[in-house]
Amino acid sequence: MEGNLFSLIVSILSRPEVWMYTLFGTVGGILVGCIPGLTAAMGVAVLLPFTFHLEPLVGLAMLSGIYVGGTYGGSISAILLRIPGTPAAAFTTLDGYPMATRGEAGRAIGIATTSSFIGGLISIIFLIITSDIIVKFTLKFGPAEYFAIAIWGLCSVATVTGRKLVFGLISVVMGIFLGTIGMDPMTGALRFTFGLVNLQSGIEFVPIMIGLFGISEVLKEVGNTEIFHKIEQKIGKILPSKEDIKSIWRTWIRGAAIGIGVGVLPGNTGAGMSGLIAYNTEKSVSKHPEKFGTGTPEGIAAAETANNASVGGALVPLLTLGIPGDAITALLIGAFMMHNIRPGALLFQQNPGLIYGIFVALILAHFFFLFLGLWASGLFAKVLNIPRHILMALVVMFCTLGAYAISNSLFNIVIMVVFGVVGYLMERIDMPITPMLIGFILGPMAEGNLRVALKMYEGNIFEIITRPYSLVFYLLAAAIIIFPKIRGMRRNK
Amino acid sequence: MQIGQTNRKFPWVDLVVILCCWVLASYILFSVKSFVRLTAVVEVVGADTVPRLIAYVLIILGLWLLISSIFLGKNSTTEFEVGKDNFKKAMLLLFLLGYSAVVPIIKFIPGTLLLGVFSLKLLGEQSWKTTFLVSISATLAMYFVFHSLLKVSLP
Repeated sequence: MEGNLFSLIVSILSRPEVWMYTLFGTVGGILVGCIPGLTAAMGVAVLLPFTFHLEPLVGLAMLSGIYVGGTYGGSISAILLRIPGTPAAAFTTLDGYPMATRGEAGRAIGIATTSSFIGGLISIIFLIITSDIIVKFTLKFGPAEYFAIAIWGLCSVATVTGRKLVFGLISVVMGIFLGTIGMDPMTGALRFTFGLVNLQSGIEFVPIMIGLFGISEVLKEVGNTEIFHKIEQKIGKILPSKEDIKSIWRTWIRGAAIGIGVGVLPGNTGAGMSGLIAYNTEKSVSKHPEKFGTGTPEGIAAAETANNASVGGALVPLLTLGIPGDAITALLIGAFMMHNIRPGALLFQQNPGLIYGIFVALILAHFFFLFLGLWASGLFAKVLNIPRHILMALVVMFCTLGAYAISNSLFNIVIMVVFGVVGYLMERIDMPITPMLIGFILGPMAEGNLRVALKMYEGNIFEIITRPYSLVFYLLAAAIIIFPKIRGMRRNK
Repeated sequence: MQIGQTNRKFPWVDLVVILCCWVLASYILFSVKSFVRLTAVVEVVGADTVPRLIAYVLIILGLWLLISSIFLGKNSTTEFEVGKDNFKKAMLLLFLLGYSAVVPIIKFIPGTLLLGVFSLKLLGEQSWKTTFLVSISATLAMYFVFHSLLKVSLP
């Protein structure tokens, strides 16, 4: 088995296109991540159509690069402009920018890069080890358990993202409804097609995603009169010194543990939450908490280690259970669906080459961004000088072409526009869009498994709900909804 | 113009959301009547079961929002600012819809070039030279990537 695994990894590594597309993805991810306003989710949404015409392994390798690079890239603008490129890098600004204004921008980027590398790599090792264990366990699951898992995933995403719980739930239910549009796979009934032939095969995932994450962002940008920031500071020496490494190695371990822990929970608010928890933890255990916010290496290291460690954590439920935890993993599951692949335990058994290919690409992406961050961050800083409206116009063109190219259908552009407006309006009223996307993905999974389970148990819903593993997931789902309410009521008292 | 504020004005936005939920629920419940039903032996859960469930949940969520937001006034009122440059936003959306209708006639390169020029101007680019340079290079780059590298058949 070990010999087989070794030869599998060697065969993946011997393919130049895996290296090349992972590098493209990482560079693209860093570029998108470092530009404020272009999030890693938007990067994946815009660049995902490029991967459709590639072989699944190569396409997913590129997306892994975008995910990893995008999560790291936010730190560059956080340090140089005090504007986090992605929400994940929000806590990097607190110490990164003060360090940069002292003339140590290179040192700050060096610490951020090495910390992101360490955190991310630890999380990928965690992913490889735990996914193997979880998969052995989940192979025992049947449709009833998978239905319960989908319900748990839907509840957790709805409750954690957004200001009002009810808005999150409405968003999820709307997503599930969208998933029902088209021909019912079991009975052939046409559901909610409004008489349109184009809707008979359902709505495609990519135009919805591009509309929600790409066009809605552009609409926000129209009429934005924000002052354009130009980078004028010199970056200087980037490689972190031995003293810096000595002072932050414990932070790396704590940050990685927090990042993985937060990332692994479906419904986590992404890398941003892990950065916040890690930063506050580091401040509370530090002998000099007063130095936080003035440009301390521990502050940068905590935020960056944790936000990149959440990448591996978030991939655990995605790859083993097929449950996306946040916007980016929802987009990644869409990429799997585009290639007719359903992540989960069976994929590990049926297509280990693809799974190990993703692991290899994730590790490669970390080495790529380490190299690029330490030796080419000056180039990425130059991208920040490109005016935002030009980038947004390019996003419009990429989005339009991407929506079309997925199935050579101009109708997809109409879908993209509709969901661009929907996403824009939802954001304006503070209704989260991620639950809608996850509802759209998990809804059909829940429906399909419920129907198969009911057939298996001859319509006995009680038996489906009370199966031991299912019950655990229903209790978790209930706890996720009830506990925050109880906590809120206690706080109000 | 503001339709709501945080200091508990009437929650118009919540009311609109409630109405949307109920309208959608009514539409679902009306539509499922026409779905084909197979015999119970073949089909324990019909094509209408999950949509019905969605409709009932939407009705309940609408009620929840109605009670918590309008009757009890528990949540802070949802803000909704109409925002600036809505004409430009509408123009951009209309142009995108127009692009999908016109591009099969005028073909990919001229259509995408126009899309680039229009988007750049709407998003605030002043210089015509930059507008054309960026649009032409982006169009050609996309043509190369999609047509030559990814073998996508373009209109």
